[in-house]
Amino acid sequence: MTCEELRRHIHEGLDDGSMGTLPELVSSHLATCCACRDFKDDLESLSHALRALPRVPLPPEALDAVWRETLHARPVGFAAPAGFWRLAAAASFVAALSTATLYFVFAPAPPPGPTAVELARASAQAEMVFGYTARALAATRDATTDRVLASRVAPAVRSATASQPSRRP
Amino acid sequence: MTTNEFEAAVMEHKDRVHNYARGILRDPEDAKDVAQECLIRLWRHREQIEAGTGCRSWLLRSAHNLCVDRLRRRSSRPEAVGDQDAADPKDARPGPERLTSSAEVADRLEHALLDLDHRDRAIVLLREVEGMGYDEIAELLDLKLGTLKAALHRAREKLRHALVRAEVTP
Repeated sequence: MTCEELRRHIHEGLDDGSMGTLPELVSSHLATCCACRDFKDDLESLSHALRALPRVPLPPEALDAVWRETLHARPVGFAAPAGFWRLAAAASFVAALSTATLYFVFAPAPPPGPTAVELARASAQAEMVFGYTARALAATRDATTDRVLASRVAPAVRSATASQPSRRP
Repeated sequence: MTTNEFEAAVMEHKDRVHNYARGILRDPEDAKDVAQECLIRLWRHREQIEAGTGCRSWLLRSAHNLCVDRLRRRSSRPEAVGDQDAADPKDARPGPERLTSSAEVADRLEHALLDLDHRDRAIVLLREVEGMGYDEIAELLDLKLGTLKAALHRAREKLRHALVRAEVTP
């Protein structure tokens, strides 16, 4: 194992807290390499020293300012309580829904359809129109029939009658 | 998050957020402002935040973003850099004698942390000081796990070199 590889193992040992159980190869290298032993000792000491750095508490005036701005803040004008805007949005939605429902229930009915009298009158007018049409068609048919009889059938009948010998004695 | 949960969360995390901001910014006034702002933001967003671990992550993410904003503003106005604590560690070196007391080690370590870029500093603070898990840090800093681990290894070695150069045994 090279010194470079060993140092990677030392870092990984510090990363996962497994410095106490380093692989055999690492231990045997450490036993023979003074520089790597120093490296390991230095990094372990560095880690301890970092954890032991003095903690400076937040100054009391800063904490007071935090309380003043948060828990002890005086409401300026209208201070919406927690969840107010969500509640307001829900109320607006319900109000809009109710208005729409009321409109559809009580809205003026559409204009009424024709009355029975109007329907009867319209029906009579329609019948009258149909009657005129039917009579006109019948008259046309009769006139056509008469014309055909007069122009084609009657001359044929007359000529047939004339060509027959008289059976009277 | 209820009002009581908010109060409990503030009491539990206020020093953590403050120390994280101090670690990144190295300016007590800025760190105090950032911590205060984070806790006030927590109140404003309490409807969306769950008490507990989610709250810690939210606060540290918020603190990190505020710190990065401040660092950007500082870099855009170099004359306004407020790193009173950020003196060159070499200038403050007391002499050739070896530093052994824990206060001196802590002091040197804090100065060595300043030599890291702010992302690496954040990784070291979140992992080594706050003891956060890799997944949580990767999510918080929007990094891939491999990138995060590589950056942490590099940062550890930089810190070690800095302390060895300063003749400090951590």
